[in-house]
Amino acid sequence: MIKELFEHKRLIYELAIRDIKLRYRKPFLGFFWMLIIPLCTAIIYKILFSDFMHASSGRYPFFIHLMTALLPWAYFASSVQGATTSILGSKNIINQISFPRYLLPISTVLANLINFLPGILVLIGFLVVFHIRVSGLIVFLPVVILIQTGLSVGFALAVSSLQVIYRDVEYIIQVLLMALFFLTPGVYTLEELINKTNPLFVKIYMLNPLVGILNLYRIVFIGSYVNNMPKEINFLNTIIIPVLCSLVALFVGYSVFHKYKSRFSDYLNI
Amino acid sequence: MQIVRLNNVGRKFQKFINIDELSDSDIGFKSQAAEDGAFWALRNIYISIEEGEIIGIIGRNGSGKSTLLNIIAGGLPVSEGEIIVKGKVSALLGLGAGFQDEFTGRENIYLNASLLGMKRHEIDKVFSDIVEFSELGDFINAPLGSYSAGMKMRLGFSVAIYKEFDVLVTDEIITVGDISFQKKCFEKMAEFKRQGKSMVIAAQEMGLIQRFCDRAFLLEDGRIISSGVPAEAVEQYEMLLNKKKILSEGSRSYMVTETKRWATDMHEWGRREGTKEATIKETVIFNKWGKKTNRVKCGEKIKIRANFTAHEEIDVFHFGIAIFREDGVYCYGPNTQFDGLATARMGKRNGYFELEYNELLLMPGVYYFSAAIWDKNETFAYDYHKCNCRIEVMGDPVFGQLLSLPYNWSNLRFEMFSNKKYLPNVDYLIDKWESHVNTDSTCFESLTFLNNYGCRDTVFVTGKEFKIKTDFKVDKSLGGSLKHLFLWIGIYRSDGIYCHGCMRKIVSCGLNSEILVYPKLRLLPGGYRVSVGIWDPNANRFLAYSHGVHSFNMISDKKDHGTVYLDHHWNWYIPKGEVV
Repeated sequence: MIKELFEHKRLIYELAIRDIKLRYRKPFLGFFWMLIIPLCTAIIYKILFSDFMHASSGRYPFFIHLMTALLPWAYFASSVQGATTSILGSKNIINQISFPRYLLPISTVLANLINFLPGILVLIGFLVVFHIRVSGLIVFLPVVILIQTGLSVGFALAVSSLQVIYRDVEYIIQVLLMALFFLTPGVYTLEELINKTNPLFVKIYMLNPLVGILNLYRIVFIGSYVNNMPKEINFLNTIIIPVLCSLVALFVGYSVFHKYKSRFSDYLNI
Repeated sequence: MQIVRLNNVGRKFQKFINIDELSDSDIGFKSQAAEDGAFWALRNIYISIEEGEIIGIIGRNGSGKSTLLNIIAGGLPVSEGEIIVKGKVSALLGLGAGFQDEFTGRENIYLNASLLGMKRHEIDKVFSDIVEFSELGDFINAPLGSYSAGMKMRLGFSVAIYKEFDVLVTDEIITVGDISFQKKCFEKMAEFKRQGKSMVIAAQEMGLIQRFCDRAFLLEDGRIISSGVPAEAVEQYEMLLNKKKILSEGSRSYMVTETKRWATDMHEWGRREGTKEATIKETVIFNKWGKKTNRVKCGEKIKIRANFTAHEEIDVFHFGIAIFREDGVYCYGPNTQFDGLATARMGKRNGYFELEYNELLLMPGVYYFSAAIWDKNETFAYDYHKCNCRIEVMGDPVFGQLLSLPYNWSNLRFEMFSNKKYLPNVDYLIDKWESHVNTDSTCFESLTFLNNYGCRDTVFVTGKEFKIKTDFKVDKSLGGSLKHLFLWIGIYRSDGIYCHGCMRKIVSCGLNSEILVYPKLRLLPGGYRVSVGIWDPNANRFLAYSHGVHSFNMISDKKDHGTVYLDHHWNWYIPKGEVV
């Protein structure tokens, strides 16, 4: 399969570019929307949580705390959500041309990855503006992105194939993503959670691979973060769990896809 | 070289019928219905496409053309069978797969070509040719949404043909363009043909099929019902269209479609029952010399006489004589009511009735006769002797075969071989019902049934002409052993009873076409299946076969029971009733 993926890298790229072009061709501001949306979201959340509800993130501005969570989160959520309809929405292609169907969800993830990259530059820009020392660990950023991409591709493969047959998947995913968003330290900080809830819940909470991945992002971006982390953040739940989950997701996603793909042609056109 | 080969390909679709809606309208879904609520859009498709061959696919709407094209193009997986493709397939179905209205023509070329499997540098190389062929000019940089349908089609066609391919699969969209563009398409296709590329075209435009194709296949209800030279297939198609018109007027509604095929009471054989107002005293059999016997030769004249005594006066009654094979297979059971004969009022005296067969077309073996005097509606018998008259038919037995029907092969050829010695051992096929085996060296391409008008059909009338046409290939590698190979065709009842089989020598390598003719197929109503095989008597096995895969139905205006209609006539002497 890896070999096949490599053979079709051109097609994946073309499909991803198609996704992005379709999204940004018409609007006047075009590709700037890629930056404007997470920025605006961050500003809204900052006003809501930090200024009204007095949430705080200690040694670095709350705005940076939000940005480091929202950008990767947007990448994950829009990958999975976009992938649900990636097969169903391309039925005119599928009906007529034979190519590996899994290229469609994968290209959706790739499109969102491309969408995500300029956001990183903006984030680094803000770090500079807020006089925050960028961690030397930033060299590991590609690894962190890779882990998250693996997780996204796994989910994308599973939901895109399930959606063809069970059309409820789209809505279930919508609800699950919303729940998952509030189960990751995005609009609040980990310290707050640890202080306010019981230790058992915190233990379970830390098993969420997205918590680990968000922590990884903060570790590689924010210079002082790694030295001031609460003791609940450990090697296991920041690195081992995300990597394992991402591998398992890839495997399960591929198996699910493989299992259902033969039934696509029956269900696609109804 | 074979580029594409479809081997018993079938494609099943879910029907997704809404139960609520179904109850409102009593739509009857016929033949293709499968057990699990799915239906077969295609079944038993055998096609092989040679290099440089142009294949036409014709058929009515919904006959399975698009499904077939999609399967060859690789867009649709098969539900059974296999498809072997050696080479690249390019498909041109519908207007440009994956075309995006928001994109310019240029972007769409790149996207569409990548989807078709082209590499970036390949696209760059042919890009200007594509633009030129599509005659789009400056429009190539305008969004596709602003194109006319014809422009989109031209663009799609241009991209598809500039991809490297060995087989081009297309439907009739090539006929969408204006005359000058069509002409260009045809020139391009002729060029492909010269280059040795193959094409599969589905179209309603019969002129195109006849002008362009080397071979054509006619689809109906998802099966190939005709294949061969385009002109012939087109003719069949036109006949089919006309026939459907006639059939839809319901002219066959009064025909009988099913009969009794088995003795239901074998454990009661030898007994008799009845209300005894009239009793049959004895049943005797006469051979062609008029001599009393219980052994006759296969195909000879025979007369069965039943002597009876009436104890009461009976107004309405009729006689029946049935013959069963010893294993309970119902061979034939006519009665005077089915034959539309009126009997006079019966008085209290002795009489007899006789049934005379001109030819007893039953294979050698042991059979039993039943004789009965029935009431008006065959609800009860006055007297009914159940199979208590044994008869032995003599001759060369052919194992398992029930009937000895007159037949001939349409291309006459002097043949001498002892049928007995080379006869296929049909035991070999037991447990292989509805299966088929084709090999690289021998394979069956098609099997079709023709009615008395020469049309392909699957429903036939008892007593009318019936032909089985089969095309099969024998590879040259078998040339040496050719004189030992035989084509065998067998007709089975749908419950698996072997009715009749015949065989002939295979004389040449390559594509063979044989037509088996039954001048009067006397099978009675019901479902039948046909098996074909290439028998190698030396190896004592079939090199290729298709066993019970193809089916046809018999219908009749007679209500006789059994399997075969035998020419017969009745005679009787009925004592006059006493006038009161």
